[in-house]
Amino acid sequence: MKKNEILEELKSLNPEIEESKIEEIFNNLYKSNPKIKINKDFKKSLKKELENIWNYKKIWRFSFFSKNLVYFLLPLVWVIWVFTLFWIFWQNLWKNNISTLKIETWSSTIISNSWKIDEKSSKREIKEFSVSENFENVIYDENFENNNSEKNKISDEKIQEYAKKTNIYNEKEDLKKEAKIEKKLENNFEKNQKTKDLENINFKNYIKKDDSWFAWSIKENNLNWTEFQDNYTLKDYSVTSWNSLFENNWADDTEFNRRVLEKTPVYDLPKYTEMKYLDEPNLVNPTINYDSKTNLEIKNSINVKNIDSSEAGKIIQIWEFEQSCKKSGFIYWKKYSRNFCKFSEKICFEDDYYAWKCKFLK
Amino acid sequence: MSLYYNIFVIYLNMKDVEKVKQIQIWNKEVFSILYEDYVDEIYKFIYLKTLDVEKSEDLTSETFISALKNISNFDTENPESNFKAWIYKIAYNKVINFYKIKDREVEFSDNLDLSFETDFWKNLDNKEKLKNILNYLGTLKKQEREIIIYRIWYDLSFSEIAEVLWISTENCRKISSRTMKKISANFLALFFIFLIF
Repeated sequence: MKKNEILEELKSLNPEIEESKIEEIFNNLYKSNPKIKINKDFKKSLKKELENIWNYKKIWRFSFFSKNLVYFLLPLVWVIWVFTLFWIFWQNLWKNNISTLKIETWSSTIISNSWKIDEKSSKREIKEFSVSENFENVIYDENFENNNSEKNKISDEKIQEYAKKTNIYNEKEDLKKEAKIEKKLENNFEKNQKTKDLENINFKNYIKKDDSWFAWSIKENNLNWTEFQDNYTLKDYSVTSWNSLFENNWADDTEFNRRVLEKTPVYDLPKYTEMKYLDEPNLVNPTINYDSKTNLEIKNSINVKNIDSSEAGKIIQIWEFEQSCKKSGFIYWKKYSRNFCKFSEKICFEDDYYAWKCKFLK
Repeated sequence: MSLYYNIFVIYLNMKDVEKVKQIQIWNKEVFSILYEDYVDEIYKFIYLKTLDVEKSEDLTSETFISALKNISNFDTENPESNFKAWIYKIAYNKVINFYKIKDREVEFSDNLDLSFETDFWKNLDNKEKLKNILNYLGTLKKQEREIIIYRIWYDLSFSEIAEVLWISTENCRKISSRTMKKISANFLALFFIFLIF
């Protein structure tokens, strides 16, 4: 069948040679093809042998897959599992490291616990906390003036003088010169604390005083003021109710900043804040706060210099700081920024407190 | 039974590559068909190189076992894949390895001086004619002789020969053409051989 094909192919390959010659050569060679017969027994035996190999190979193939499961797939799964565990562990470790690092750098000795909060919750907490604590401070001032009016008249003047000198806060010599004023302020502060009774103070009384920046902000921003004034006393007033009030009127943080932070006149303390907070944190040698009387280290204190509020996003640290500060002080709002700090009023930031109060009473 | 027969016929009419595909999915019947197709050719191919029945049987069995073990490596997706060339190449390599192991370069032409008492010559009908032809082909170069014999006797295409001998197809054609010219030049001698015997 293929004989002609081969012949034609040879002819096409050799056009110089006569076709008859090619045909003759091809036919002679083709006919001389020896017919070699294979041994039939060998043929059968080889076939059987191949079938045996075939069967063996087939069995081996299936066993190979079963072995794969045991020796290859399971270890692979194990490796993947270990890798995922390690990955989860490493991520957590990394997060913890970062959080602890931040705490250490920003709050020196005061924060030893690691707080796991997300940004949203931190914002919320800060908002709630600031509102409630701010009221305490305002009420505190009210009592201070009502019960100690004569002393306050004297102290207010001195406080204002002192407030002017707070611009050179870091110079200890100047602070020593004002030691007498400080003592008086401390006495007033203690007395005020004793007379402070939150339950007896009505919010209406408080709100009459125009020196409350917070009340002013509520009024200015047309919040749900009448409802609040009629129905809520300070006792009834809770963080959650304030929070709902805030949520209803302030859509987001920018709005919050615009309404409260930027429009609040009392809050306008840019020079003071710049001086205090634009220092870079001393990460290597964080300063420790000491009690002036006992000269012992104050554990629940913060070194103000170690707070760098020039950067944004320090809310988490501040929130943690607030949590760690069990003794309530006042909220310090920084203009044009959402960063704010609460200082422990008694222990180590009395100077700050009075300085702030001086501005507040202006 | 008829169904089985029909399936068998289908397998029988398949191309080699399709048969190999079936073998690769563990179709035993197709493998037996492929074996039946090539065992005689391969045996003859090896026998004419070794001229020894035992060695030929050994090498034939080695060739098919090797083919079976490596059948999964045969690329059925490649359109240039050729099972015939593939198995001939295995047989060719087996023969070469055999001579390398035996440390002797015995070739087909070297056995032309064998006496007529050997098994090889006993089994042939046209002994004289074949002997003279082989003597004549012995005057050609090894590669020339192989290409002509593979093309005419084993019905291997030039591309298949090229694959077996590890040369290009074009080169294979040129060698074939040159060989035919040589033979035609001595046409009278060859014609005389056929004329006498």
